[in-house]
Amino acid sequence: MVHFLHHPLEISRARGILFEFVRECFYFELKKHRVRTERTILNQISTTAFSGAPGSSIGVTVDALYCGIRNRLFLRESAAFCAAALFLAGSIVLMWRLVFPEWPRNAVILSSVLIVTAALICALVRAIRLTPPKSKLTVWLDAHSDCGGFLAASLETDCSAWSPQIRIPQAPKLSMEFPAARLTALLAAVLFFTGTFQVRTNQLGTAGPGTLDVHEEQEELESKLEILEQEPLVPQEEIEAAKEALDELVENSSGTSPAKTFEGIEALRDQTDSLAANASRALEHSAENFEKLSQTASALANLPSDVPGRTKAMEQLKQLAEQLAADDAALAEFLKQSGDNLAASMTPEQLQSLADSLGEGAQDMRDRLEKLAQMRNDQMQQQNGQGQGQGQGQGQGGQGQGGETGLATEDDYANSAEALQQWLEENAPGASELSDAAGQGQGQGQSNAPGAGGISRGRGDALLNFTGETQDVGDERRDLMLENNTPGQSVSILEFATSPGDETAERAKAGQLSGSGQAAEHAETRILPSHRESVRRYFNNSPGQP
Amino acid sequence: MNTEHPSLMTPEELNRVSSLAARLLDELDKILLGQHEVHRLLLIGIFSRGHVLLEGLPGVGKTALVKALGKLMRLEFKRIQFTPDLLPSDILGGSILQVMPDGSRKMEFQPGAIFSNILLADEINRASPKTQSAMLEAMQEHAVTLLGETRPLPDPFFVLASQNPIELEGTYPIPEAQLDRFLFKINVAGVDADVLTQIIAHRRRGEPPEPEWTLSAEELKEIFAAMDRIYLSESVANYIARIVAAGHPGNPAAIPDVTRFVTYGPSPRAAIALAESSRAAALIAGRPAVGFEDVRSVAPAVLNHRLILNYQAKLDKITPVELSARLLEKVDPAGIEWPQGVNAGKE
Repeated sequence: MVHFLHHPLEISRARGILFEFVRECFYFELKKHRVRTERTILNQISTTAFSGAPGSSIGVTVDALYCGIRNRLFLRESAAFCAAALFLAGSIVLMWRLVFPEWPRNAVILSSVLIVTAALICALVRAIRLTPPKSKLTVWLDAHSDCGGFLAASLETDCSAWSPQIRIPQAPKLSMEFPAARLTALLAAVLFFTGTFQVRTNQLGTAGPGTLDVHEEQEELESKLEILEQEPLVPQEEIEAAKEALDELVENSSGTSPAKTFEGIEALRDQTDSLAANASRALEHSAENFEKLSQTASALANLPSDVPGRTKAMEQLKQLAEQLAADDAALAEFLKQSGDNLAASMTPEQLQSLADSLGEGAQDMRDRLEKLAQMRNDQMQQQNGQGQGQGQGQGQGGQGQGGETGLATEDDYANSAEALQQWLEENAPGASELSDAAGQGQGQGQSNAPGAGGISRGRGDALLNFTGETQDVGDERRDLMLENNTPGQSVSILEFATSPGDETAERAKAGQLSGSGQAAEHAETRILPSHRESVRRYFNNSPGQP
Repeated sequence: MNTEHPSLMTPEELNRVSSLAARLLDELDKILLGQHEVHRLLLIGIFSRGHVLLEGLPGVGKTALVKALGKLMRLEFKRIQFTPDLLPSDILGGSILQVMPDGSRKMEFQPGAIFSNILLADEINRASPKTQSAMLEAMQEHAVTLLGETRPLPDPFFVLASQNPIELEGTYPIPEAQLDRFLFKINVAGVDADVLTQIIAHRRRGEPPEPEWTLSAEELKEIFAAMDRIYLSESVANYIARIVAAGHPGNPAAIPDVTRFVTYGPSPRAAIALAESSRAAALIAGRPAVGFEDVRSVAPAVLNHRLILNYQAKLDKITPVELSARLLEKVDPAGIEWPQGVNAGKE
């Protein structure tokens, strides 16, 4: 710095005045719509106090001027930067409280502090850049005072010889406007930032005291979806869609709209049940086909090899397998993977092996079906069980469980051609040659087994039985007037002399729809005597029917 | 501290020189009353070795001032009254056929009135441009070339010209090239009533008194030597350069008034003139370094004849002096670009 002020001076007084000068660097004056800062440099330093001897160092003066300008600029710039930083920090806090509540609190607050700190640093840097350098301030001081060029010259050359003539420069006036817009923006930013902490958190958030607790339903559905996921027959894309729907449902579960949530859960339940039902039906169908083939193959394996028509029976077995596999993908895949070529040249051992494999496959399907049944409600499981027993005539499983249902098992048919024939008649109506190979060779197989109807099997009519007949009383009719004496409104009725008799026992007898002796469900209706013959002719009962 | 820059003059050295200048100024003020600023500028012009153009109404003392200056400085003084029929040879001189006593004849050069220390070119605008242009070389080179032979003019050499701002009929405006060679154009105004009272009361026929003191040639040389040691800092030089730049209408630094009213701005010669005249001002003020106020004090006189105004200025009655004042007001001496909202000014 300048070294031209070396004269002895009143150190204490200079120090005191300098201290006052530094202290007086800042004061603010509010005027109307703007905050204006004014600072008078060196006003407190009087030239009379230093006549003949210069006062404080110009270097100190310039330093104080530089710091004063820089600090004022820092205050002004920090208002703008801090306003922007507080808006940004407030936005982060708002996001934390509304959108991403899982953010850690400390991290959010720390980031806000860092943003504000960075803003202050930027303001300081900008203030330093805007502040004129000290050399220019010295020149400026010279230009606005009576220094006569000494200060400017002192920056470049030695002016020590002239120090007695150098006067303390008069204090030029420096004012800085503080735009009201920045102050307003800062105030708004502070209000915004503090206001974000007052916002209620988790308005759209996860489970909390005010949200809907659907954990039980979620677990229930997740366990169902797990079971369905293990079932190959269930389309995986549907399971994935159900899982996504469940996740979304749980995420959006809100205590303000429980109806929507539970509706969605119920819809998901229905969807999973539907998937399970579809899979169950497919499994059941496949299991039936597996069992049918297994039993047939096993029966054929136990036939003597010299039974005539065995070759044709094998061909028909093959056709049966192809026929069943046509609408059963599992069976088709099994037959493909097993590699067994159903042909007449198959040995009994091969047939038995095939039958065992089919039986195992059927058992596996039954197990899977049981799982699905367990997943569904008990009522549906019972219905499936009863429906299976009633409609198909095949019991649960294929190994020794049919006794409960009254159906014959493989053991019953072993070494019994007649039993096989009967079984085939009941279960494979189209396999006429198989029936012949079993030694019966009779007929085409009954296609009218009760409940065993089908497109290829024909009508599966139940047995028809007439009970409780009454005597005809002729065609005497009479008109019965309707109520309210509606003119012209009457119905023609027949009057019978007697009422139908007690038919309870007859009904029980008629309720036996198969030769197994099981009391099964039956349907009954009353018909007019004149319609009796028509009904009989329609159903074309066998001579053995009552 | 930059040791490459020369050190300032010592106070003793400068005090002696500045006292001479101050005495000279005082004597001028005694001889011609009421024109202190004109006297100061004139001295500044003399110390800067420049030529001065005095413009004023008739009878304000332009010729008397120059005469008095010549007497005070003990310099050879010659006067030329410029008339429309004045020829260049009348100013510069020429060769004439001279008959020697022995009867032989030879061409002898007869120097013109320009061969003096101070040449008063009275009403210079009355002479034709051809005659006026005869002074171009003399004013710039301090030499005259005639018939292929260059003859130096006496040192120091000053041209103090005068012109009448009225009675423009039959006058020829000084070309800009010649105008630019004048260091100053000083407007000499009339004096107030008090000064007139003194003139009338104490001077017969208004004739100025004889100087009681005169400046010797050696002393003048000392002043010239001291002028070379007056320090011009880079800050002040930059200020001068920015003033000149701001006076050009096409310059990015030009102020709006310059862009609006000025056709041609000052040349680099104006910047040199500002620098030299600022040194002289500092010397007269007794300071070893040029200050910003020195530049501000001489800028109007330097720019007075160098700002070529357009018709808009004439319509708005804007004078070069007024425009110079606006220029000085707008150009910041320190060259600081204050941030927006910061107002820095002198108390």
